[in-house]
Amino acid sequence: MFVELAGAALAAACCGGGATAVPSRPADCDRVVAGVGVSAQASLGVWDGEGKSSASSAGEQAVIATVAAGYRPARWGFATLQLPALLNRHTAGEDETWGGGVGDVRAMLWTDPVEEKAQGWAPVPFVGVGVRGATGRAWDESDDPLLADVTGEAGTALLASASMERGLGHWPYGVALDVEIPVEDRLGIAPAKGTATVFAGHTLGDKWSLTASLRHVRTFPPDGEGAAHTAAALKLVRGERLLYRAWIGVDADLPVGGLGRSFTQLASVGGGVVIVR
Amino acid sequence: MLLLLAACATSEPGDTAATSGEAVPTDAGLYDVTLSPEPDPPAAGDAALGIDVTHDGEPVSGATVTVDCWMAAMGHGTSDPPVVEDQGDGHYVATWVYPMAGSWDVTITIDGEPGTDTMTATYDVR
Repeated sequence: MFVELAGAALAAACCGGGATAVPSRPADCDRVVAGVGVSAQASLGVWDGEGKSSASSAGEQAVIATVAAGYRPARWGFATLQLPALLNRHTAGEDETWGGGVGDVRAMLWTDPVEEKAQGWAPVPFVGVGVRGATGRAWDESDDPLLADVTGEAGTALLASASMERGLGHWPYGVALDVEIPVEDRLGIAPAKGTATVFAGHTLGDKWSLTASLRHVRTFPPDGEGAAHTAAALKLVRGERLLYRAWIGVDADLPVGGLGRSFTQLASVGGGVVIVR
Repeated sequence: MLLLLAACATSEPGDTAATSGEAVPTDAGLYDVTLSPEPDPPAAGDAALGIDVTHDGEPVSGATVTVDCWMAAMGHGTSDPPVVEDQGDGHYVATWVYPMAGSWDVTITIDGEPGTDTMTATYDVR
């Protein structure tokens, strides 16, 4: 039995994100997971600097493909690697530009020392650390006035993640906290980022799971107030142990005043498959 | 056509007024600046900003005026810096492209005979 988070932000262009989370985390009995996910993302509106939600004269659409892999060499730990590629279309008024390319790579090392099959209601902890490498094109390297050719951020960053998950019968649930801290930025002023996620799901037999999640993301610039956004996601996964996992999902920012600040509201749909051995 | 409004200084140095037509002192109080964004309110895409600069009530011509745009919440600026044109009689026009909606800090640096000073206006771009 396993649960996949339905809304990890990935494939960051300069500012966006979406539900393109490829389930690359090997379960207890898995050794290797590898596959690809594809999502389509579009802007809905914007939160202004005061948190008011409104329509926007700017538009952002993207198709994001992510290859991902996970490797579990021991019962208590595993590694994951993800690399996205983006195709962006940006509009502002009557202007339209296209761009894309490889995004930022993410590599993480995880430990989950407690077996999933532990009895009782106590949640199972997962802790990970890693790095986001600047393999994409950052805004200061852009040749496009609407930044459609931006596929990544200006420097590397340290990643840290902690989650607690548990299943009560066929009802798994959990919480997760992810932090991204720039450690090298040629411009010296990139904001840190924090994501808090709560999720709950239902498993149908041992092949299907449906998970809903709520995610709040906030940036912490060196000066001034940061950006924020709140999104909900739903993900349906079908898998066969030691064979494959396939999924489809939807993810959308909640266009309600006060749930975001200085951020473009985004929605995405996606799916993919990973091979499991 | 940008409107030029002569106004008495009604704000304090360090204010980040983004209200069209209101004269605002620069940070050290060397100049009074009236900003006229176009479109108003600002929107993503092509943007222009009329900048009227005075010192002791007199227009400041021939100053070097530079403009920088920064989206602090997301940690990025524009791919190309704003271009500033001196149109004479203390009137300058800066043009650039807002790549996205959100809260943008526009910092104006004026280097004229009285000295160098700056001010920052914050705009919610839709």
